[in-house]
Amino acid sequence: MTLGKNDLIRMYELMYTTRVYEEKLYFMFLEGILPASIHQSHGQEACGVGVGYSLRKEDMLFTSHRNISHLLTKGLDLKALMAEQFFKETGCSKGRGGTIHINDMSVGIPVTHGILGAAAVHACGAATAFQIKKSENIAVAVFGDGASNEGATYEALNWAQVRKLPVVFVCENNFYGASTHVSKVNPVEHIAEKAKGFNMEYYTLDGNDVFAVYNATKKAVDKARAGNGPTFLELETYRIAGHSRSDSNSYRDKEESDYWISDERDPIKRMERHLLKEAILTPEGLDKKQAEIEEKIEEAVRFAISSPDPSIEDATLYNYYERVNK
Amino acid sequence: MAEMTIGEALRKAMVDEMRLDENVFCLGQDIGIDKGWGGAFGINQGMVEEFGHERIIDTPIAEYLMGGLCIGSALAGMRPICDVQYGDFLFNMASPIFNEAPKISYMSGGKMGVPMVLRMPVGSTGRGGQHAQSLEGFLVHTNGLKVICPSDAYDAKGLMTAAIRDDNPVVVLEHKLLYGNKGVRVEKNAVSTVCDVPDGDYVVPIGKGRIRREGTHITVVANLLMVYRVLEAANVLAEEGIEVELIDPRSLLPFDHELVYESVRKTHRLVIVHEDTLTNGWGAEVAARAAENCLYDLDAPVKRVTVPDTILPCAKNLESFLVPSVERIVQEIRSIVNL
Ligand SMILES: Cc1ncc(C[n+]2csc(CCOP(=O)(O)OP(=O)(O)O)c2C)c(N)n1
Ligand SMILES: [Mg+2]
Repeated sequence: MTLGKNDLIRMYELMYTTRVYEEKLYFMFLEGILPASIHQSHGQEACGVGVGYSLRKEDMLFTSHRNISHLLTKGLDLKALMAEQFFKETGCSKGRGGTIHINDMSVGIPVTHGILGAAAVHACGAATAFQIKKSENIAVAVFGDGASNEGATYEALNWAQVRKLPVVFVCENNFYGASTHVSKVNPVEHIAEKAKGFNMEYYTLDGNDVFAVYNATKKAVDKARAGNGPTFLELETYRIAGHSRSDSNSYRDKEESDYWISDERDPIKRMERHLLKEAILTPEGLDKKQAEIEEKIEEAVRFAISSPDPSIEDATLYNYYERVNK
Repeated sequence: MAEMTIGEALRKAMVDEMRLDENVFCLGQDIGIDKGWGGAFGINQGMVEEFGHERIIDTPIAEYLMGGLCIGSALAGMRPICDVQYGDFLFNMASPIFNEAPKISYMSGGKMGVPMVLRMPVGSTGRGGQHAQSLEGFLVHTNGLKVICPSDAYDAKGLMTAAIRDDNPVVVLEHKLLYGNKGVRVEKNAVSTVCDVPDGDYVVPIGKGRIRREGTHITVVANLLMVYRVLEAANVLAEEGIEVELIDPRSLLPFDHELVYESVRKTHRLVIVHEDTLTNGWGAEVAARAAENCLYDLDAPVKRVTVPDTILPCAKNLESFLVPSVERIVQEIRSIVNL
């Protein structure tokens, strides 16, 4: 599929929604309104949008903690997501899951895990199921540079290539796993090179270029869907905010952060420039879009705040799955 | 109706379910190799011939992966049955078993379940510290998991069928000495678990215990191999006029505490026998519940007869000393009855 005007606008909306959503969470966190910390993806929005946009609803996306752009692009309901951030009964996990354990199987999001390494093996499980069922669906695992070093991730890569599974591995390399720089814990220049050892096709690309991400993922997705096996994509990007809210990035190299934190490299600014240059949106049209999105976020916040907490009587409900729960 | 060992009954349950439901499949190490073993204990023998490599999947020696494959495939609508070559390797798949699979239902607000069965051989057989544990204590502390431990072929078929049809992760503890006492992979000192297994469909509900022997003087709760040791002990004691009521819980999680209370209210004495080590073994919970719910029905202290708190040895004499023997069980029961 070549991207039309509407696709570009939609991709911009998703990136901008993610940015505003997270900024809103941040302010609410500082104000003491939000009950939990967050893992912002500020600066990485093109990754989740580019990847998510290349998938069908039925494809399963396994992600983890820095997940907002993935979830929204896959189609998760904004209000249900916001309500979950507030641990409300109306949240997509009924307040039991919170910011990390988000789910909506109707759009192909099995519950996300806060356990690094899980995404890759779970995605292999789904892909194994699709292979057995001769289904057209594929699975995608998204994980960070840090999680790429989990043994589970390597076990997954090995198995996926052995079985030519319909799966795509996406490593969002934002140069840090918590406070540890990627160069301290990797013997290769590009994480993707490790896939070579598994005889898997691999690419390193600019994760701040939503078109590059979309195009590469789309190719990998089509290949997986056609039964031609997995691909490893490394998306180079940068975590502008701290790891979580209390992190001030004290350990970061100034030259490095100056390079990455600029309007030049900002994925959203880049998209804006493109939309204006190609006259897909006028400056007024862009302002209007942004205002609409900001209002949607406010609406979601109002919904979340006015939603009820889960009821005390149900505190131990759901330990075991029953079909009626649904 | 046919006579079967536990090994055969487990296989029949898997085969019957795979014929019935195309979403059921098996994965594990060495289970589907052509002209191979059919799993380390041969339980999957013959299955690859019927179902092919697509549904009998040989995995690499990668336990986290195996756990993850179960979870991911279950989320995608399958019902995986995983052969964990030795239960002890559960620690190599600790994250999927303890921290991922059992939490998916709760963390999703009850919207998602992961039907998956993990078959784990347990029990001391001269293999020492890393291939002979009973593991029960670790597992029964895990909310969201179910744990079953069949001790004869009828229960094995019925419980295994229930496990495959369950929408939650279920661990099947299979005692290496109870698989059967015939065939190629038979263990030294194996016990006969042969009994009649109906040809047709039936399930043994998970969470329901079974009275293996009726008696009036003392309630003994025991599982797996210990069921057979207690049965032998009960015969010895019967000659002395002591009638043992033996309960096989069959499921450790959830546990049929009510059945124990009912029996204790009748016999007024309680002994628990298990092969897992003492501290925080499942018997500790049974004792605590009995204290909470029927203390005034008890005429004697509750006694646990277990492997003491130790790593298991390879040396046969040490192992025999540590694992509750018929003689030790007889003595312990006698001492409680005579109090
Ligand atoms: C198994 C496991 N180990 C450690 C952690 C704690 N932890 C959470 S996020 C994180 C950093 C992850 O880095 P990376 O994979 O690069 O993702 P990023 O946060 O940069 O998006 C760590 C160490 C965890 N959640 N799970
Ligand atoms: Mg990182």
